[in-house]
Amino acid sequence: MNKRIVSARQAKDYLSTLKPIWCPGCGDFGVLNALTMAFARLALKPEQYVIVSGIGCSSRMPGYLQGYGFHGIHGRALPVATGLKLVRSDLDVIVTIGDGDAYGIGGNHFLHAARRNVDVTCVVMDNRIYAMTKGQLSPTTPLGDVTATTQGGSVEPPLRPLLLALAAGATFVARACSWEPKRLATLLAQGIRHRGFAVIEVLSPCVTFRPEDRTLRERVVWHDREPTHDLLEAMQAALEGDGLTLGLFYQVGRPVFCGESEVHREVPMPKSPRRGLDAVLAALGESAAQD
Amino acid sequence: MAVFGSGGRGVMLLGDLLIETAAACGLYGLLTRTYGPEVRGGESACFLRLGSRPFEMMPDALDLVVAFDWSNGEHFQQELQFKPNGWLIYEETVGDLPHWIPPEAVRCPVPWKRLADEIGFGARPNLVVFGALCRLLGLEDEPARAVMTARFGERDVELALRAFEHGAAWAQQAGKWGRRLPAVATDVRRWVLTGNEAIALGALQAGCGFFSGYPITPATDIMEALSRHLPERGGVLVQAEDELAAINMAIGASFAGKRAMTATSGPGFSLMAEGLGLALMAEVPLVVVDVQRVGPSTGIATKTEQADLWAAVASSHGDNPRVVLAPSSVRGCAELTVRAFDIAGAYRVPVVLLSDQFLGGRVEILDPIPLEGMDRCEQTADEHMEAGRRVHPSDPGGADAPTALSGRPGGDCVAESLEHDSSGRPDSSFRTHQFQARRRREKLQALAGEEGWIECCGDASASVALIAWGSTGGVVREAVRAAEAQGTKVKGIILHLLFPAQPEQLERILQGAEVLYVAELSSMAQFFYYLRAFYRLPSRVVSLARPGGIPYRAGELVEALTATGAAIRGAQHE
Repeated sequence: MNKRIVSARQAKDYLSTLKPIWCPGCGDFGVLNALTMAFARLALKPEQYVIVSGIGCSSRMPGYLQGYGFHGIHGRALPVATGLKLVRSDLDVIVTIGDGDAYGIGGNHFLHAARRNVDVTCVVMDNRIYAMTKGQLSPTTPLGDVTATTQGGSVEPPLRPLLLALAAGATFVARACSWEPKRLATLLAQGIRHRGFAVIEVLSPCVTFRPEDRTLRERVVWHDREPTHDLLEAMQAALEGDGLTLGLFYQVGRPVFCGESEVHREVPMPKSPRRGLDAVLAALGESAAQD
Repeated sequence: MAVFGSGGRGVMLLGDLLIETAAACGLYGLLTRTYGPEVRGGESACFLRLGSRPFEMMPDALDLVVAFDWSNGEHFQQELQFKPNGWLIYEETVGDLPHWIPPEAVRCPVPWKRLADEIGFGARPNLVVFGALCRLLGLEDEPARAVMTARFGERDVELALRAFEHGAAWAQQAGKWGRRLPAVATDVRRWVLTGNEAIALGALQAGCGFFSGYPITPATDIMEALSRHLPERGGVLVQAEDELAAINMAIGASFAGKRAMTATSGPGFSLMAEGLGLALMAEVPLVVVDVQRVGPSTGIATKTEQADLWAAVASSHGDNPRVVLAPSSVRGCAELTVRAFDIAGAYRVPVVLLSDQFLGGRVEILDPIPLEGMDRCEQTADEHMEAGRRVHPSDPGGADAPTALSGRPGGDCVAESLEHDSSGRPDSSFRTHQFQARRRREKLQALAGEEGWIECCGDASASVALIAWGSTGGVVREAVRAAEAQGTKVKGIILHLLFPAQPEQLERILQGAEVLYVAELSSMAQFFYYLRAFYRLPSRVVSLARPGGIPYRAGELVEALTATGAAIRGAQHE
């Protein structure tokens, strides 16, 4: 018994030896800690998961965690994760990206990953600013805010990410914050265990380019109801409290995406008409059978 | 021969039936299709060449032209060059012949519409025509029936056979018909394949385990073929939301250990440039097929060109040494696809396979291709991954570094798009970038040193050389033969490995050549300038470059090799 306790992985054992480059006080530290807590809680072995990211502060995540990772390019983490999951469905695939990756440059991929119900956990660290490039407008920057590229105040209304996720077909939709890593860890563990596309939007303030977002702490409220199966109810809940309500709003079961594969075929393969490539493959098959 | 009519008349079906029947009769053949961007109602034509040896291009002039109507004939006017005494077979009720039909063409009006009406086939006389043409060409009934049964199924074939026999009977009775093609006795069941199908075949043979793509003409049928055959072989296929997703999905699957491929055409290849850079930096094996079409932008989606060469060699950003392969025949499409997977895995690079619409869309009757490498579905993951972080070999030519996710305990591999050190960790130091940029370039040296990528034909001692790549290579093979028949000795050269370049090998082959003609379908003479950039060439190099749309004919190249032709055409780039 004692031996088992000694050999159990602690949260800190999931950290790699790389030192994060984030600014002191960055919300992303909280997300990193929460991820390690979730892994420890699920007793995951580092070879059982893969962290896939895009580009930006948040996307540095794979390097800071033990195990396999893919630090790709801006906006394309979800396609990489989709390809990976389709051929290694035995692994837990966790996507760690920012608001630019998820809703800006990669917005189309976000829609389709949700629509397909790809079985990955999509953790969006939303700091409402492009921080790595030093403070430009993001799809979630509030209307009127001054940024490096909207010096007269943004004229663009921000996106409502959870409504987007719900409308597009995500089957697990939650919002959390980086400054409460234990509660975040609970949601992350649930999201990882969920079969299907799990979106966990994490308010993760940028202390350098949006110091005013420290006050979000005072404005968030936890939504402690059970997640609903009802899309409209979930949308309503996600809108409550000026979109700063935290919790798990929606969870449903739906078949996960397997691509065109043997896993599930909707229609039986039509009989080969034995022309062109079909005829060639049939001939090759016959000669292989003779060998 | 050529068959044309407005879209929806069944011209393409007629072409398919003829070439399949010819194959079953022991003939070789080549079928190309020309059509406008409309799905229905536009112009459509197919060109068919049958005989006792394989063909790679259409002849300079036609023996036989079959016209369903004249409504869109002018679109093909440039392609409809009659041989002296060539036959024109046409529906008798369609009115006056257009002015561009040469007076010496032998006119054969035929009452197809009436014949078709007699058996209730009015709208689509193509099967009646099929019956008549089989009689005319001497194609036997038995193979034709088998081909129709395979096409229409046991249930629906009865009606089709009635139309076929009605047409054949008419031709028999009309009497003057009869031009038997020399059949070739063979026990071999020849293959009838398009270039795109051959690429799908190569992928299946190479053990491709993942394909993601976005539909685009003229590459889509690669995905369609794989949708049929990849899942039953344990692979996975995804129709992605766009080409950005397509290439990144393939990268993800490759990182996870599958042999992965995507296929597209020019506009999609532009979107994939970004992902190509990622695969290069993260050193993820990948095969990217570009079936070129006329560009730029949407261009002419249904016609061929060779103007993605620079894009294939240099697209994406930064220094990005990739591999570019270019098949020059349907057979080559299959063989080079297998090679592409092997090279991608061995060198951990993306390999661009540059095909084009003329290769991808044409149907060839060809002898079976010996393809090795069945059942290699699990690629490099377990071969290359070792426990611990990945370590690049200090030997820059080494290709055995761990690259992929294996899921093995203790593994700790992060694929990295940032410049990184040998352990895969981000590193922006000058020293590391110097080392890694050089290593990425030099690791391809072993491939550049390989022999056998440059194909030669014709007379090796000739002072005149003609060089090309891709589908134009097939025309060069025919042109060299045609020039020889006219008493002109030509050394034909076809490149199949476009990057890395092989200057030493080409220089050896060019020995003795005083003038080098460069044939390509590119208005900007991309191949000509590519050769000037990477190779040592004879002092006189003449470009025959012209835009695509219609492939070269052998006669066009032979004529260009004469002094006058060259003076006119070569004026632009020399």
